[in-house]
Amino acid sequence: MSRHHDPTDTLDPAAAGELAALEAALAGDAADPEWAALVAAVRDEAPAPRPRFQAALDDRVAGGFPRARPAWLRVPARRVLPALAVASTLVIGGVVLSTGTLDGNGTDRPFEAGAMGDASSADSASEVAPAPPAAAPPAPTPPAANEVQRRSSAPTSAASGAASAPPPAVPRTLDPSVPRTLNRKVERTTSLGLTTDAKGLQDAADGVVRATQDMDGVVESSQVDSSPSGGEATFVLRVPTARLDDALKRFGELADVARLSQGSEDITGSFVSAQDRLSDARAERKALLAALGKATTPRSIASLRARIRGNRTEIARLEGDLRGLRRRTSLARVDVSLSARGRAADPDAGGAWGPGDAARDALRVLEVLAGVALVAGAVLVPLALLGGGAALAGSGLRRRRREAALGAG
Amino acid sequence: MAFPSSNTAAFSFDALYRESAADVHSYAWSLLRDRTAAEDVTALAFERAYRRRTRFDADRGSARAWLFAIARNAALDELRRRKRTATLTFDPAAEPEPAAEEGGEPERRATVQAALAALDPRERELVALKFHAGLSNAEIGDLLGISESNAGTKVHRAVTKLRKACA
Repeated sequence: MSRHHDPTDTLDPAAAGELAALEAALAGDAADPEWAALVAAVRDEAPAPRPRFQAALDDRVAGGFPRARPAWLRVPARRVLPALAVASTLVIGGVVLSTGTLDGNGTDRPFEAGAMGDASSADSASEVAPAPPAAAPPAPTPPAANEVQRRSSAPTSAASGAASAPPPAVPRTLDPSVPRTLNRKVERTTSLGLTTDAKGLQDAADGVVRATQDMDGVVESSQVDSSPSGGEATFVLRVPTARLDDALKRFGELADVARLSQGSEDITGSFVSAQDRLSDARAERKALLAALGKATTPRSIASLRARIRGNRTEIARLEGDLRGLRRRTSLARVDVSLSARGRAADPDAGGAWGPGDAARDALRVLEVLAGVALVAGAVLVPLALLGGGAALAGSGLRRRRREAALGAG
Repeated sequence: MAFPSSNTAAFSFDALYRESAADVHSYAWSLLRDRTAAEDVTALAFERAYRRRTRFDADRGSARAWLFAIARNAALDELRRRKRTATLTFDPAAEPEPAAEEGGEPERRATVQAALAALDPRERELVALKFHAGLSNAEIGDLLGISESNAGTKVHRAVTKLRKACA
């Protein structure tokens, strides 16, 4: 309620006198009987509350105006229970059906069997691919990889996802020509991202090389670029597959692990194919040598010798291919990228978490909070203004409608 | 009858109810000209006042003025809801004459009813606020959003018309 004061709006003295007489009559102290009669007549004109209503209102006031229960709460339980039972049955049925669908689609369990099971077991592999494809070699998540992941100081979500996911050891499409009883030939690849401070870059790079050599591995290529403000190093390594886990563990001890991804490729088909072609070439060599022993004419002898030379070259090439394939399976490829954070010039860098770090972290927290507050304010302030305006407009509209209801008569 | 204590309120809701219930009913009846509707509005006004009693600010006016503001809004809402604005065009035959039940002066009451019927609805409300609610001109001004002197002028005009009609 707001009072509008208007200094120029003054009451007429005569009117003020009559109003004073009215006030006196209303207070029961009327000097003029006419005013007292008017007050009594107007007051008597309105009916008194009916006793029944008065008693009911007294009870409600005495009870503190108890709120009536919502209509939906007043529904008898015997009506609600069947509906709840039906709804529960539908929900449970839906859950069971969806679970069954998930189990039956063959996407999860076979993957676990292939990825986590015994790789040398052809039976377990047959579960993966029941038709001609045979078992895949094992590719369990390396313990060292898990250890490395745990040491990671700030792994990204992508890195954690890559590290936690088991390596796809078993390719989905296996070569049907490969006999299922043959041991699978699998090439394993690993990509490892390490981070360290600028001072530790060279030591970590040396450590990568040293660890590789300790594991009887080979550094196929390496590149180290360092500067006072940071730097990075990349390595392509070959590590004996049997010692891959140990190697990853050693690498993880050199710096913080920011990323780890592992994969595998089944090259059994290529291996068997190369073996078959080598056997064929050797059989051909035998036949050519036998034919050369029986040859009588100089022309046929020269022709056979030329074919034998070509056959020898082919055998050498196939043997090389086979050695390369064996090497790929016995030596896992490890790509290591080592990056240095640009904190070399920072006097606080490289040490334990200290007051400087605390101040920086606190500042960062304040920056984030200020950002959040700014964004929230950018959203909430206009909404609050709109809401306030709407509330004011609604209040004014309601007031006008009420007054209109009164004045419509 | 024992009413619940209202410790949180800055006033005694019980006392307010006891001294104002009949007046609120009379005021609502004056606006609605319907006994049942007046009772509904009276009950609603007291329920709203009870639920909002902790929000009452004594610095902004008396509890009685606050209660009648609530009752006024409830009555106007009822008028809008029921589309009964026509009832404000006073019809003396719409309700039985209470005076006849109470053995008053039938002629005098008929004259008063006719005089009230001749008033503008807003003037009739001013009469109700003055005679039934017993509000001061300042409180009526607050309630209607006008100044105290303006409220006094309007009340005086309405009462003068009423007196002339009753003469």
